[in-house]
Amino acid sequence: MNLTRALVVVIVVLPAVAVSVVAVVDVVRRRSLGVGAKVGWLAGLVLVPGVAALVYLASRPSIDEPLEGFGDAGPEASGRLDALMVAVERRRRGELDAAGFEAAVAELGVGAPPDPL
Amino acid sequence: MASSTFDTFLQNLARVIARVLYRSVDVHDPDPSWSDRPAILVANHFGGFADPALLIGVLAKPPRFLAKATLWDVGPVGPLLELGGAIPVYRASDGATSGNRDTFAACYRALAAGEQIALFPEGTTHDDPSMTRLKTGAARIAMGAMAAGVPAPVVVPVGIHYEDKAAIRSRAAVIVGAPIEVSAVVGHADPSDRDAVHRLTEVIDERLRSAAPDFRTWKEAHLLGTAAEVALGASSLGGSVGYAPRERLAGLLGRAPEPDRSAVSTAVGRYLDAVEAAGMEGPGVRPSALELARRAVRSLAVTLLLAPFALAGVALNVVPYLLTRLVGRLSAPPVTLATVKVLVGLVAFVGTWTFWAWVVASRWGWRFGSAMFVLAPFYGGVAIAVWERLGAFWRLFGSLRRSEGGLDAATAAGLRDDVVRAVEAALVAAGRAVR
Repeated sequence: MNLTRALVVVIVVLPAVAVSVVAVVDVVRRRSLGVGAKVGWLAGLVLVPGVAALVYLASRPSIDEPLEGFGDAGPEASGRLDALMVAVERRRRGELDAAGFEAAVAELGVGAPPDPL
Repeated sequence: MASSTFDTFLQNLARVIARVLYRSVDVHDPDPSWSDRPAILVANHFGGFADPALLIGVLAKPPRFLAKATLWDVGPVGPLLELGGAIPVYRASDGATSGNRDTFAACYRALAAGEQIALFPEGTTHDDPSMTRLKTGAARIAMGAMAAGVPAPVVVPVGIHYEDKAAIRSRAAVIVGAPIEVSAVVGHADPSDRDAVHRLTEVIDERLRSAAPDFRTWKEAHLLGTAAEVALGASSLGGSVGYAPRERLAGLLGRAPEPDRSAVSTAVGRYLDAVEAAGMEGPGVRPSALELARRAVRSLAVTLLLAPFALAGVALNVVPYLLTRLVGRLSAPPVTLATVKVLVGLVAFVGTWTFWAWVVASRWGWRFGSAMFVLAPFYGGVAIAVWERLGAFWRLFGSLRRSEGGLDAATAAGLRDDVVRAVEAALVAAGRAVR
């Protein structure tokens, strides 16, 4: 191996491999990424090694994982909140009547029933 | 009329500038089917020139904006508006309005040709936490277009949200509301029918207020926004929750009746007080030493790996970055700073990248010059990412050093659950309050 090739390996290839490995591990472990996004990033990391890893690490939010012991609200809680938001928006647009809204609320198991008075 | 090549250039430029100036631009458009139809986009106008720039960057195709006619007399702005296909509006406050006949005709022609038009129906840009009274222009254009034979036009409400109008690298969101079928609201009424115009304007007003920021005070906006962020699962304020869901939820909480709305403010106030009392910033929980060490190693490793690219990015972009950042510190209303920030960013960054491309091209040829024009913003992005990663870690480390124990996980989770319960109750109350 001549000196030029050795330099290319040390300066380009090894850092690119290291960056790619870090990126792959991060993608797999990241809880905030959906399955589709994970598959997309992993495909990019395999197909365009080095460059895709740079793009991934540069665009990744700095801290987005919940701290240990605190946990996030959980998929059940955030899913319920999202469904409730959609129900309120539909009610405001007139796509749900009062009975339909109450049915949606009851299905989600949120809050107390309305005051009959 | 703007050419499609110029449209593409304009859109790509707006996207690059948005990526530089904002940390994130979150878009919520649950029903994008309107994008293939003749549409009149109506948006709130809280950010001056930043508003059209942001919309051009995020929409599927750039709309033709209606702008006050006096802007055509402002130096180089007139030719730029002409290039972008903007349509002049003659306001009564600026003098004669007879030219508006041509304005309406130009709108009908654009819609009939399959283009979309966009306007800010408040008529002026401002710094209030809620929209001002809407003017009737959007309704009259929509009804006039239908009368002129444009098939099934829709009015699309678009809410533009800024975390901080003046600051560079803050967050923004564009929330697209439910499209309004003009014929479903006013049938085929003539645009001279004042009652029909007012009826349609009321529907536009209601839908746009649902998509745009619409709070009683800025304090309420801050508290409800923070409550939304906590309830949606953020473990660090300003952290992982998308800005669009945060603003959507905060807007709905603003519609909740009393006392449910106040209960949300009280719960989130208690959470924030506990975080502050513990001497913390951002995350309200003290991580273990092991976790802190793990994060430190990860941040350091990523920083070292990206360092060569980041250093190149700093060297290539430091001048326009500092210039744009300094603009944000000027003593001026936020809405003015929002406009100046975008204009200065546009000129300074694009000018700098062009300069570096010219330097490289004059030495090694145009191919390397073109590559430099692409690499300069890319390396700049890497530099910003590294800087923000280090900054976030430093803030976490600093707040931990200042705190005397911080909040334990159980206490923080309990306070957060109180916020979630208050938010859910307020949402249910907001739904039940609809008549």
